[in-house]
Parts: sequence; structure tokens; C-alpha cells
Amino acid sequence: MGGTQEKPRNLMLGLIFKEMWFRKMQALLCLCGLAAVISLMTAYLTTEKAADRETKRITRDLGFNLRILPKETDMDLYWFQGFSDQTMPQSLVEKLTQSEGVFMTYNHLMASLRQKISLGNGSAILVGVAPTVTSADKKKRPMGFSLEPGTVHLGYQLGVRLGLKGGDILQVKGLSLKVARVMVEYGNEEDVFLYTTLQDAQTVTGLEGQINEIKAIDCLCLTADQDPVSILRAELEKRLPEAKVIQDRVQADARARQRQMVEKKFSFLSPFLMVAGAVWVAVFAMLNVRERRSEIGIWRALGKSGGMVATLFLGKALLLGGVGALIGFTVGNQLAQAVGPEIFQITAKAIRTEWSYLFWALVWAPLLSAMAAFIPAMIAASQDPAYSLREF
Amino acid sequence: MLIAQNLSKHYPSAQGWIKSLDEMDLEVKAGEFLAIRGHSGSGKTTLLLTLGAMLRPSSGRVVFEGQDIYQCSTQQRAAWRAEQIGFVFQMFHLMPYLSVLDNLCLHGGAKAGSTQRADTLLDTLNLKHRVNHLPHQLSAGEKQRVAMARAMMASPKLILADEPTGNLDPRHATEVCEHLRRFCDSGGTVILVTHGELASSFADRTIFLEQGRLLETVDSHVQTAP
Repeated sequence: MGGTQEKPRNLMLGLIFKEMWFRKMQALLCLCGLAAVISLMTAYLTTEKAADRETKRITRDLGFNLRILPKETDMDLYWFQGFSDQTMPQSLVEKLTQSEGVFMTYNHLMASLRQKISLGNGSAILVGVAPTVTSADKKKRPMGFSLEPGTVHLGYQLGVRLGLKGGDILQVKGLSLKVARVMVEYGNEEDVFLYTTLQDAQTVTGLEGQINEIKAIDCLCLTADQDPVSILRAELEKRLPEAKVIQDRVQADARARQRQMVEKKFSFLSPFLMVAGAVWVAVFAMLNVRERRSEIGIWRALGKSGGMVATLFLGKALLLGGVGALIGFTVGNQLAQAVGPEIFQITAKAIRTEWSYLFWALVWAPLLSAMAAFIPAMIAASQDPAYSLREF
Repeated sequence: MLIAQNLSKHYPSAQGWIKSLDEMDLEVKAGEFLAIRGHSGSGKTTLLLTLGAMLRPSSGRVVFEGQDIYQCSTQQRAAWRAEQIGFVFQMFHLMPYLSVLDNLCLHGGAKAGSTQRADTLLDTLNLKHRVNHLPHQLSAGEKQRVAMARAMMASPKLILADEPTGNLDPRHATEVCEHLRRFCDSGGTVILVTHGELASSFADRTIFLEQGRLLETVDSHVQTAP
């Protein structure tokens, strides 16, 4: 016996650890429940944060798709026929690229010239497309299909009407163009489009050096929460007085609504997750109290207060909550890292450990656990020791 | 030392009120070994718990060394129990997750000298070799001796034992009673609830209860069943 050392024994934390170790299956199940809730929430929030970033990015890109048109464009006519009745110098594209970073940035700039022409027994929309100008600092592939000079891509309806196929020669206002391909049926105005290079289109129409539209795609103008159109218009007025700008925001609005829906869904789901976790903890806490009735009686018989008994149960709940938060955060974070890139391909690399969630998990999980264990702990604390000791 | 005056305890039930203790008067002197006997439901355990400040009586007083213990606050009674009383129960009620030593040190575990005190008691009760064992690794007799050692840890003036020999064979029951007797002989007071004659044969006085009332008192070691 001389081997036993004089050291403080049965400190509260030690008692909690020993009891948990003794009833490890119960503690483990409780821990699993808490960890599952935290990991689900961490995974969800981490991916949601990535989704939010991605959504913002997509929304921003969609939201700032711009069409720069000749200033004198009749907009009624523009919307009726799908292209401007006016033209502007092709050199504006260069001017615009030189303005990059000053008031707008973009991923792609596409200059085009559209004109209605007679072809065969009917009409067609000639679309001359200049090579896409991509932003120098962004490793983006040019959008759309590549057009070789002297070739033409025929819309489906034109191909049918003219009876042409790939490799045939098409005469357009005296210019021989080789049909590179007949496009698939899109079921829209593109079925009567005749795509050529900008230069060929300018030759056919006699509008050398002219364009009637510049599309700025994935345009990252100013900030996402500002309405850029009025600012852009003012800037454009100064820099490109020959042009005016319109913004396509239909898709942006749809995406924003979709994002709001996801956020609402989570705000609906998260309380259920938390309640499920709390119920899980409460059930185990109640079982624990029932199982330890005689122990509670002994504590009281030994002169320990109800507060001390409650602390034993609440302390255990807090400890389980803390450990559950750590495990849950780790698992949830790993889960997000594993599945996130599959879901969010654009911002895959942006799925990162959100350390602030660890902080909140460490605050909320013990709190949730303690709140769930509060009633069982109070029952334990107020349990009449005489009855519990007589029952066993 | 301990006086119970006009002590009653009533419980509500579907059939009406049950009188577990009925105007009981009792006095226990310091250093006395009192055995309480009676049939099941006669009020023995209720009396013991009431005397131990664990169960407030419906009426009457429990006075310990001049102090009416049920006039004290809950906290004061808890402190009083911790300092003055040791409990021993039939079912031992050891903490299943604590070693023998830790079970003993539940009484002021962080206080200096508690381990030494536990060492001494375990040595006295011949449990030296079980110091780091968990309760489920002990025999019934050993468990009860650990429970007794725990009851003695705070050097109480009074030990209240509720059928401590109920789950023991005669040899271990005798051993436990001998330890209680020794505690008494060293100046402590014991109130023991028992069904059997063996335990009461160690007592200075045995009282018999029936339906919450004191039926008979038998002094010394010469008793006859009522």
C-alpha cells in the first residue's frame, strides 16, 4: 500500500472520464450522434460556402454579360431582327481592350458583324465573327467554334434549303466560300445563320472595318453587388462615345433565385439537424441518469450537493459536445474536401478548410449537448437520494 | 447523541396514506451499537434514512448533538452528512467505474491525507491487495468491506448501515459485523438495520419495529424474537 501516492483523486474531470470509459458504448453512441450532426453541418456549410463562392462567380459572370452596340442603334429594330441596323469601327475592340482594368475586365470579347442577306430563294443572317479576344491574364480558351477564312458554317435550315453539305462550295454575293459544316438543328434563329470570319462578312457586305456588336462575356465589372450598367454607360460615354451598352441579366436573376432557394433549404434543414442531435443527446443523458440512480443517491448520501451531481452530467455533456465538435469538424471537412470538387468544378480548388466553423462547432456542439442534457441533469440533481437508494 | 422525537413519515398511495413511521421516539447514545429489526415494510429503512438526514419526516424531529437536523438547510444537512455520517447499504452502492481506492476517496478526494487514510482503512479491512480493482472484480464480502471503509473515510461519529449483511454468507456477514463492532468500540456509534439475528447479536440494543411503530426493545446480547 505504501506504493500509492498522495495526489488529488476524483477530481470532476477525472470522474467524468472514468464514467465515460466505464460506459464507453453509451458514450460512443452519444459521441457518434453529435459528431454526425456536426460533420453533416460542417460538410454542408463548407460546400455551401464553396457553392456560394461559385454561385457568386457564376452570377457575376452571367450578370455582366454585355452587348456593346453602335450608339445610334434602333433598339426596337435590334430586338425585332436580332442585330443592329448601324455599324461601328472594328478598331473599337482594340480601344476596349486597352481600357481593360480601368473600368471593366472580361474573359472574352467577341466582335461580330451581322447583316441580313439574300441567299438562294430566301434570306439568311450573315454573321461574321472576329477571333475571340481573351483576357491576357486569364488562361481561358476562346469561346465558340473556330472559323477559317474562306469557309462557312451553315445553319441547319439553310443547309436543308440550299441542299448543301460539308465540302460544298457556296457562292455568296460573288464570293466563293467552302461549307465547313452544316450545323445541327438548334431550333432557333441560328438555323438560318451563316457564320463566316469577320473579314469575309465585311467583304460580302462591303462594310470593311465595320462591326455592329461586341459581346463582353464573363465580364467582371466592378463589384457583384452594384448595378454596373449606369456606371458602365457613363464610362463608355467617355471612352467609346460611338457605342452603347446593354446587359443580359435574365440568367443572372435566375441563378440568384436558385442560390436563395439553396440557402433557404439549408436554413430549413439545419434546425432539424440540431434538434435531432439534441434529442439524441437527451435520450442518452436520460438513460445515463436512470442507470446511475443509485450512484446519485450515494453522492447525495456522501454529502455532495445537487449542483455537484448536475455538474457531473452537464460536464459529461459538455465534454462529449467538445469532442463531438472536433471529430465532427474533422470528418465533415474531409467529406467536403472529398466530394466538393465533384460538385463544384469551377471553385473546386476554393473548397478549403473553414476554420471559423471549428470555432463555431466548439461553441455550439457543447452548448447544444449541455442544453439537451440539462433536463436529465436537473432530474439527477433533484432526485431524492432516499428513494433511489431504497430502490436498489 | 441522536434523538428522534415523535417521528412520522407518511406516503401517499392509491389506497390512501401509508404510515411508514408512526410517532416514533428513539434515543441513541454515543458509542452505542443499535440494531433495528422488523418485517419488510415495518419502516426500518425509512427510519434509518430519516435519522441520516436523507428523508424529511412528515412530522417530528431528529436531533443530533442538540441540533434539529431538519431545521438546517439542504446544504447544511449535506455537509453534516459528509462530516458526521457514514452510510453502508445492502447493495454496496460502490461507484462501478472507480477503483477501490477511488471509491474510498469520494470522501474529500482532493484533501491532503485522504489517500493515506484510505490506505490505513484498506489495510485494516484486509483489502490491501484490491486497491486498484474495480467493484465488479471483487467478491460480495469484499465489496461490503469497501463500502464500510468508504463509510469510515471521513471518520464519522455515526455509521448507518442498511442490511449490510443481507447479501453475504455467514462468514463474511460476521466479518462485517465485527468491523462495525470494532468501530463502535473505538467510540463510534452504529445504527444497523437487519433482518437476521446474526447482525443484531453484535448490537448493544435491538429494537423491533412493526408498521412504523416501536414494538419492543431488547438490550445487550440476549434477545428474543417478538
